[in-house]
Amino acid sequence: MKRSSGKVLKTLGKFASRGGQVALTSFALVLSLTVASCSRESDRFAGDTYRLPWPDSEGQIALRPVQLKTLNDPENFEGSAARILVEPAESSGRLIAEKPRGRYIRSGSGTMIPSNYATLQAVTAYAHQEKLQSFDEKNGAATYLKWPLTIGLQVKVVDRGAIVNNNAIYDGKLDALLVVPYSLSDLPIALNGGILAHEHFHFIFQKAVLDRIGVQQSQGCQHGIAQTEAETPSAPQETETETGLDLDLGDEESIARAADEIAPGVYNAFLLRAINEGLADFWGWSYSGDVEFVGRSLPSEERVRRLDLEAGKLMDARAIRQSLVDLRRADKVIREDYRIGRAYLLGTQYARFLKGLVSALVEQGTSPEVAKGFVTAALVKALPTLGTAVVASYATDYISPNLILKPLILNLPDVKAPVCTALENFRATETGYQKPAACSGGTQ
Amino acid sequence: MILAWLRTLAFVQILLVSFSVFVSGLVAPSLAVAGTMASVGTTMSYSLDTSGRNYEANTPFSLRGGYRFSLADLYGEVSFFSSKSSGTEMVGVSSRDLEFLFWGRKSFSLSRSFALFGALGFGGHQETVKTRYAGDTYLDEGRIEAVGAVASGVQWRLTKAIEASLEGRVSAAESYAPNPRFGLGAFIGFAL
Ligand SMILES: [Zn+2]
Repeated sequence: MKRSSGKVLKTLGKFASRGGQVALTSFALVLSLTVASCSRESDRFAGDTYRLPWPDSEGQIALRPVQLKTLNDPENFEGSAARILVEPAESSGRLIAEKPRGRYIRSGSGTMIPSNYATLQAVTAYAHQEKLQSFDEKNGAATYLKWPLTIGLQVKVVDRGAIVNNNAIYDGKLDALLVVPYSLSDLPIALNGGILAHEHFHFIFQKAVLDRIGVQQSQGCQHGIAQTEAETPSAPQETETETGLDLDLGDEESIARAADEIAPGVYNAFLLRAINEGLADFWGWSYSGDVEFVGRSLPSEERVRRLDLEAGKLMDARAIRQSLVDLRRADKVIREDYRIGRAYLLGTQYARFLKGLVSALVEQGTSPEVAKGFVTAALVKALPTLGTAVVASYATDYISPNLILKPLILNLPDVKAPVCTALENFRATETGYQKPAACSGGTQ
Repeated sequence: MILAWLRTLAFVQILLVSFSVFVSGLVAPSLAVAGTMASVGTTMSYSLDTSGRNYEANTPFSLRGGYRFSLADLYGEVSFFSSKSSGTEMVGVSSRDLEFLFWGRKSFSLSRSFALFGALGFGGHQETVKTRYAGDTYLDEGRIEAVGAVASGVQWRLTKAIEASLEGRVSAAESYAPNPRFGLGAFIGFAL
């Protein structure tokens, strides 16, 4: 850290001691200082280094220099990877904001230092978008997205009249990620690469799958942005037929009957949400290398979302529908909340399974980094197949929870016994299930 | 600590410069010296926050010292402003700003006690940023940026030696938002 002002002042002092002539000389010095420092802002360009809370290869976060190649307008947080809006509002289906004012100083070594907390968050969030852009390119997902992505920070989101804190919401209608204010004492979400990568995956899933059936993903709760009170509908709407029933939950027959009455659209929305959340958690881990990235910012989620646990076995479509039956007696809003909670639980199973696939590949002799790359790329390649299947049956049939598994395995370059075992241990037992050819094929 | 040292150094050296101006009489050989002057005060101004939506107030602490010549006043001014730290328990940022300006001021007497004045100043400012993350703290000093300012206001002689002044100020520096910055200053001190 260079003490440039000290040096200048010392120089001034030296001149001062020479008596009268110092006045003009000092003034000249200050003038030259003026000219020199005029270049302070104009020499900002893409390729600058910023000091940010950034993970090392082990996922350990500390303040480190990070070079950003694409941030060509740091004052406005704009570059080819993302446009960061601070305290945005919604207007005509778009996210709008005043021109932000990122504030930095340039240290003696030339590193850009954010000079307030909002700038630190914004530029770190940008940095993760730039790295995610490279990550997407490596894994074949970049083409799904329209760059630069729109990211809102400090967004005032209202859910049923209350301001939402400590969350990040991908809004499919706005095609934007909304990061709401963080009030806990841990890692703010805007600085959490794993959570940002999780949300980033929702952009991809929206384009690859949900856009094809005209569904817009959002957090699920009925939320609006405070400045406009505009409401972004959750996906998808319930059918009118699904009203509260007075069921005897001890009676298996009536549960089975009620499960069959759940409309395919409602079940499919639930399953797609679970798959979306699960794949997004895997994406978050794959990008950050951190198995507990959710818990870093949201400690209450740590136990249920950490990815280094067994996936367990998937329920079949009927069992999943039955698990939704007991929610039918609840109030519609509570029902939706429970459903979201359950979708996350099911999603975590998918995420743990995908991480398990990486371990299986490692067991087969692939290096951990390469194995992670294989599964991540296979996941991207599996999305169009999932999309096509979903388009074909979203409104009419109950989609199998196994649906994503086969294209996933098909796109792995090296499938041997450990991968097949992981698959067999995880997949739901369903009639008509066909093993991927690499796992010997056949119908069960 | 460093900033406090810088502040003192800047102040002392500005006084030295002013003193040397006095001794040599180079700036205006014909000026008669009326006496020394020193004052404390603040110049309240507003700047835009990061969202570009809200204004936040800056109220720096300022010290002035210099000489009063028959034709004009020449003095140095050092201002110090510290932003409050924001962030979470884990991560946060705070900053401090040190500004030093050399002023020339011309007064026009309205009565025995009141005078109107116009002033021109230039100098620089430097921001120091403290960043903390999980127990690690970094202190970085930015480069010095040029500042130019004009001010106009009223001086009020309270006693023979004590004088107060109120001034409106427009100052410009490239990093200011908005640029130029408008401020309202109030100072009190002695002028012999
Ligand atoms: Zn999510």
